[in-house]
Amino acid sequence: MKIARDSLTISFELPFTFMEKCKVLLDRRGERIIALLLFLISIASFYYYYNNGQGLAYNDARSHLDISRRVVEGLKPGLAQIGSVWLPLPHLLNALTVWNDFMWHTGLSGAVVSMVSFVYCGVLIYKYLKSLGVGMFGRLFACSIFTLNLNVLYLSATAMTELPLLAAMTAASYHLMLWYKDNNLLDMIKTALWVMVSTLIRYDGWFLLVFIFATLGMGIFRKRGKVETEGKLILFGTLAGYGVILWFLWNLLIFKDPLYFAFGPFSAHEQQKGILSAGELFTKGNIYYSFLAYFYATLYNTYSFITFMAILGFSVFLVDKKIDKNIKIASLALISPFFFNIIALYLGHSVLFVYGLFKDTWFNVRYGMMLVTGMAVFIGYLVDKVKDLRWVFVGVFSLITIFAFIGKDAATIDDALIGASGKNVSEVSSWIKKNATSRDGFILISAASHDAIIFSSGLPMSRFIHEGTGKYWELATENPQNWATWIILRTNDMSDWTFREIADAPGFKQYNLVGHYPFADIYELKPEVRSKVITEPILGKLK
Amino acid sequence: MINKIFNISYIVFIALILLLTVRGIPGNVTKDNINTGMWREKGPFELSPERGRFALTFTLVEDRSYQFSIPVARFILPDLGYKNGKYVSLFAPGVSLIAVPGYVIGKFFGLNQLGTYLTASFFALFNVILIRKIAFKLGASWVSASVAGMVFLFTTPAFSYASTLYQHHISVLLILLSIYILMTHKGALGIAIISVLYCIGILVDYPNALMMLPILIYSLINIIKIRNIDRSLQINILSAKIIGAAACMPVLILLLLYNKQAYGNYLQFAGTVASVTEIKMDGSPVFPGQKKNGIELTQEKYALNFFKTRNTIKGLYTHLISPDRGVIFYAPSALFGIWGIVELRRRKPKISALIVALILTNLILYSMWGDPWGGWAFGSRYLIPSYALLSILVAMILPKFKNEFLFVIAVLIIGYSASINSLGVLTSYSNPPKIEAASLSIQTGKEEKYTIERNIDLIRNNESKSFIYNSFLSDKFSVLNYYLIVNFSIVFIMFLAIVYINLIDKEKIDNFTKSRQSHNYQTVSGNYNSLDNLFQ
Repeated sequence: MKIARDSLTISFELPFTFMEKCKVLLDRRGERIIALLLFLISIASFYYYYNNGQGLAYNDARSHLDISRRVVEGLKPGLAQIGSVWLPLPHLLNALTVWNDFMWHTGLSGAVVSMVSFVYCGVLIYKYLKSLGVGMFGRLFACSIFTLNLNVLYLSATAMTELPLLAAMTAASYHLMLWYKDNNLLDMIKTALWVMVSTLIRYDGWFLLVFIFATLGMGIFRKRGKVETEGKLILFGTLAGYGVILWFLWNLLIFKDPLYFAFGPFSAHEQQKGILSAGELFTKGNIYYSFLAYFYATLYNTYSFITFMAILGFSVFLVDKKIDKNIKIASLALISPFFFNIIALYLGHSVLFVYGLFKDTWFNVRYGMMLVTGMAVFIGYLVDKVKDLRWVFVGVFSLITIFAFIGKDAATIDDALIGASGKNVSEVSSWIKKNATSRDGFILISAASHDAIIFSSGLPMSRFIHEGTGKYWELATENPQNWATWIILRTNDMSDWTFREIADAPGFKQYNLVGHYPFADIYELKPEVRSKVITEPILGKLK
Repeated sequence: MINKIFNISYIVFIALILLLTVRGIPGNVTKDNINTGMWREKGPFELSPERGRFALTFTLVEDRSYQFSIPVARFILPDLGYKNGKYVSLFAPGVSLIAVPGYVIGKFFGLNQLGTYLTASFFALFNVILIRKIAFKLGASWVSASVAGMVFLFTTPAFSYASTLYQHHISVLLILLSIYILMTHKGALGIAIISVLYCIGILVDYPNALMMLPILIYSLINIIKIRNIDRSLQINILSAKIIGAAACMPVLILLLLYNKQAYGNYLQFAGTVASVTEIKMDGSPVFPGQKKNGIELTQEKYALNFFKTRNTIKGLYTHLISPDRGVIFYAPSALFGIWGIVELRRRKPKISALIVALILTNLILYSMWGDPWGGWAFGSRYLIPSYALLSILVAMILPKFKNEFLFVIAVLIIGYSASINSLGVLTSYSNPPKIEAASLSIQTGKEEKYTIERNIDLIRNNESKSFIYNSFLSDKFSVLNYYLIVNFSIVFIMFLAIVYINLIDKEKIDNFTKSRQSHNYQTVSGNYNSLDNLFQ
């Protein structure tokens, strides 16, 4: 270091070799460095949300964990507990660790899947841009766009399915782009593999399957003709559609109806019927409202300006003559959630409430987060392309992010806490925890309606008789007084399966109402008949 | 000679229009008459932001104090603060301090309100001159640059706020002056001036700390020079410039001292003190949500909490496309500036990046603001800095309207914008937000308009706030005629200029511009060549 007094200049000199080493390190190990950083961030994120009690704010997160837990523990454990509505892969992945009480009750077994997906998404963004020839600045900036979003960070710390789906879909898009770029068959197989993974996580993946199938067909047909198109599509379709076929088979084998997941009593279709009859399915049949709802959800998940930057980036990307047309088409897969969600809302298969739009509540606003990896890619591309404005974009992003962090702005947390997704069941679960922990006896409850209560009670799964417990459920709903010491249900609500089954059962009169709460009532067997109730799992694994 | 006449005529014309539109009534404001209707609702103090700032100027001069007496405090409601048992201002003190000379001169002539308001007009005039200078430096012809100045002042809501005591024109001046200094003074002196202007900006309006940040960062980047020498990277930190940057310290100290004097704490800023909704008969305050016999509630306010990303969607809608404030309704002429960005990027990418950064910072910041409407206002007043910057860019594309269709569109849009904003300046800038108009309609039992229709109604009712009109011309012709005269003058002059730029003697303009610019190169300091590199 020199201090030149005459010109009032302080000079430092860094050896060029040092700078070169740094550059080489970043070039060669960029993905690993990103992965390590994101891994540390995901741990910090989980720790933060676990400590502030928001880690399992979504009732769905608790349900996902319970479903996985029922596979390994309960009155009737086994794979059949995977159920029919939610696709199986997240629950199977959770099941690897959910047998451990700590992993179950902290939500870590689900969060680990999200955390790994979060890291992989970041790496994929980096690799995607690298393959497009985007420089280090653009790549790192794109990773920041993805990482420094509180909605992403929150969902990476909880047992929801958004991050795993996002990772699978982004991976599929990445390999599709690579296939178009390098024409390496292995990339197409990888695309198909990741599409299959996404079809086993959420139904958004099914749309991706159709979307990629169609774009792939068009792309190959244009370049190679009919014969090769047929062959490649069969290869792709066989692997990519394997998960879907398996799911149809599963529903046929377990529930005797291949479309049970779509039209069964617990399906989204059935749930939407209730919302429709209440006149609140505003988007059904209205393409403008469907667009508006999803666009607003996207804006809330990205603090608005990120979306506009991404739209600009996407536009520049589309008009860039240096980029091959097929790569442009392949990159559309990144924004397939946009089309999927609008179509699903329009058809009434999905419901999305954004606060202030149609209704003053939140519901499923997290769906808007599904575009965030695509946005990161297009923004990364934009800052690489428009070099003179790159620091402007960095400044804009920094300003927004700083205020988002100061204001703790995460629509996904509000969705979980104050929206329809986050009904507070702590009163019911606290009661049951306090009164049932030290006493023997089963609790009759509908898992479909009250999984969050089961989770929050902290009791072992084997204490609950629910729809998935086969003979226990049948017997307990016929003669509850013989099997259940407690019953939890929504009185007079026929959508509650327990109430529907036992409303007319004579044994139900043997119970006292001991707790009345907003989301459920608690009934306890009268003391005079309590001596006859069964408190041990005597049926084994009977069907 | 022609050039001098042109310049003087231009400035005289702008000044004349500003004089014709400035709000006011004859007489001095005193503690005895301050709360009468002639000053408040029916007079020039329609809204609390101007009352709050004027009241501080008034108190500084008349009471030699930073805390308000009870009559003055009543005058300011509902934008009144309370701290340590005293009524204090909720606004940053800069505007009030800057307005003191205008107040004193005005008072001497028995026009202390007018003198104070003319301060803003004075700054507006300076802004026009600066826009003209900057646009010219960026390559626009003198005529285009002159039209750009007029586009800013007469075709955007900046016009309404040039006739009253708001912070906007002073903030704009600081931003424009900083850009100008950045373009003309590269050394330590330039950094010193910019850092001083930055701190004055904070004193004028706290959000300027963020608004002006891109300029500060841009200038501070010059402190560090990185060069590749002999396979090593040399980083030079120019300490002279660091010392220059420290020149802002006296202004910062002034701000801290003001905080200490007014609020008893060096780090207590105006907007963060408890606000008062009402003053009881005995002079004690009523706080929001507190019953009159209650006690002082703790109102936890943090400066950064005023900006929330959650508000962005509502804010963007309000600023850009809402019928009550949207740019597309109130200042569509400024939108030509977006095209200007493309033009300027080709010629001066670095300075265009700075301008884009400033516009985006302005838009983002006030989209996050809880009240994007700016209370009762005319157009989106928070975007006035962006209007100024966009107007500079308009100068870049004014010669592009040679196509007949484009020419007609440009003239129509600029004419429409000028007509709309002349309405605001001559009648009232207190249009309620749509959301408030709806509830107000229920209370008053009549339709409360929230767009320019409200101003048209005022014209029809022969109501104007113009000092010149009310003092000298009200018995000679109607407000409508007055509006037509003012508006026609503006539109006609601008129309002539646009016709001149696009349809007459382009070659002559080019030659004139070239000769002026080469003259400019010679007269500006010797390091202009390196400056030129900076902005290439």
